[in-house]
Amino acid sequence: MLRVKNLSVYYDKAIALDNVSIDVEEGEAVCVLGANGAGKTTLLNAIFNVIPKKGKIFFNDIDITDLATHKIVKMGIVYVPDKRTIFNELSVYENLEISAWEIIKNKGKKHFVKNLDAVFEHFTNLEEKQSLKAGYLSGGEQQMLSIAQGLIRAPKMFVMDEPTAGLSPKLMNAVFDIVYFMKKQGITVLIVEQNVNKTLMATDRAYIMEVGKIKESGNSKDFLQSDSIKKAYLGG
Amino acid sequence: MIYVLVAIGFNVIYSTTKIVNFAQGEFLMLGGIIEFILLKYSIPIGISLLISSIVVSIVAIFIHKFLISNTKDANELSLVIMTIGISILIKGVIAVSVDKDAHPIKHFLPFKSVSLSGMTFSSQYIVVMLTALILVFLFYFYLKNTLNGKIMQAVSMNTLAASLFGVNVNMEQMKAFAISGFIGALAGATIAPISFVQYDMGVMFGLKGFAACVVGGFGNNTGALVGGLIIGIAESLSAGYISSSYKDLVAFLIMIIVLFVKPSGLFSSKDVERV
Repeated sequence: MLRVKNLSVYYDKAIALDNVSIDVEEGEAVCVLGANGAGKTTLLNAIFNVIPKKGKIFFNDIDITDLATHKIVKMGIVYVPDKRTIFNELSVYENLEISAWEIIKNKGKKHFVKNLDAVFEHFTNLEEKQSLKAGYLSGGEQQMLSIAQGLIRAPKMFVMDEPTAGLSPKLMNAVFDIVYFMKKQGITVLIVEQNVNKTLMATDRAYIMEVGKIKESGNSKDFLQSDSIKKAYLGG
Repeated sequence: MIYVLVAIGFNVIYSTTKIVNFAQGEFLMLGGIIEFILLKYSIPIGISLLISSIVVSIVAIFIHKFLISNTKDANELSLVIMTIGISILIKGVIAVSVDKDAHPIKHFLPFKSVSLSGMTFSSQYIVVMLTALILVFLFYFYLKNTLNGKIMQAVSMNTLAASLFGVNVNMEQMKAFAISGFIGALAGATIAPISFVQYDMGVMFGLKGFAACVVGGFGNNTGALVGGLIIGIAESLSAGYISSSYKDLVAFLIMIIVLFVKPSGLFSSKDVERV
């Protein structure tokens, strides 16, 4: 579904991403693991054309390498970056309305409300606080709102950058529950994480990155059992 | 009230692009000039207002499309400087192609002045007031109650997020320029009977609208409303009680005081951010 070929990114002259290639098949959940500074966020930002890069990117065999960000996401991919995608001064409801504006325009308000109800099933907290300004939510709730904004777009593929960073263990589990739910729904998932064990458990395949390069790739299950790999790249 | 419109014009562009558009005053002047030309050909006031606003919107779109969004490796500062250049360019073009004289424009209402509890003032003030009120109301309604307006707000709050939700940010910025041009031109065309039209009429209005923005807090529309009113009222009071030759001074004095006391403006929005 998503094919990244020989992607390189330079910041000034320093190389941040060195000839990285990854593949994500339809319906799969894939993770990219690695320490801070390994280039995981750079990889995602390059895929969504937020930063300049070299290489080729295909989504469903369509070349999206040079497509503007807003056109890439129109193809049914959602990207929740590590910086949250919420609009502080607007209410929770309006935040969801904006993320789903195309659904409202193309399919009507009714369709939006249907999606909204489905999303609120997983985010009961947000339902209670829908008229509150998003800026007043707690950090965890804001993260949930970001994910909810993505889900309401009814994507084919969901890309997340460290969704559990800074969250309490309880909220962390809630995030992984959503990953499991997406898999069940047949949504393709690409997730970048530092939380090694939980991420490996929730995904099918894993790529391990170190200083801008892919060092290892394989089944998540195998990595979960292999202590040597965990020790070598992922700090235990 | 006219400063409120100029201030809102500044805000619309600033909040979506983070550019302070120093050609805002020229939008106002163009509105006045185009109206003056149309009226010369005895086109009715309503239609000439509409045409001049639309023409200036188109000019604003052109400025965005060909100058602002095409600038290579642009940062905000270079774009702000570019708007100063654009402002000089527009003034120059008008000075050469029309002329440098001040032209009077007929009052919109059939009577020239109004007396209210002993005070007499030009009937055009009523037109300016009504236009400003209607525009402010419409603009607020657009931002708060329509999906398009909310999307525009979203762009100003979190540009990356908006583009990740499929919003064409460049298009929204162009829209902001168009709206700003429209509001600016209407402001210029309605104030014209009071101020006369001249190629450099926009300079003072632009600077005072800028002062109103600073007083109210850049990017905040309630601030623009209050800031514009403060500057306008303070000016009239100083003209009435001290001397009209000091009225320009008062506007900028207020701006400087606000910059000293609360540099972010009276209504600066506290950015709530949690990690």
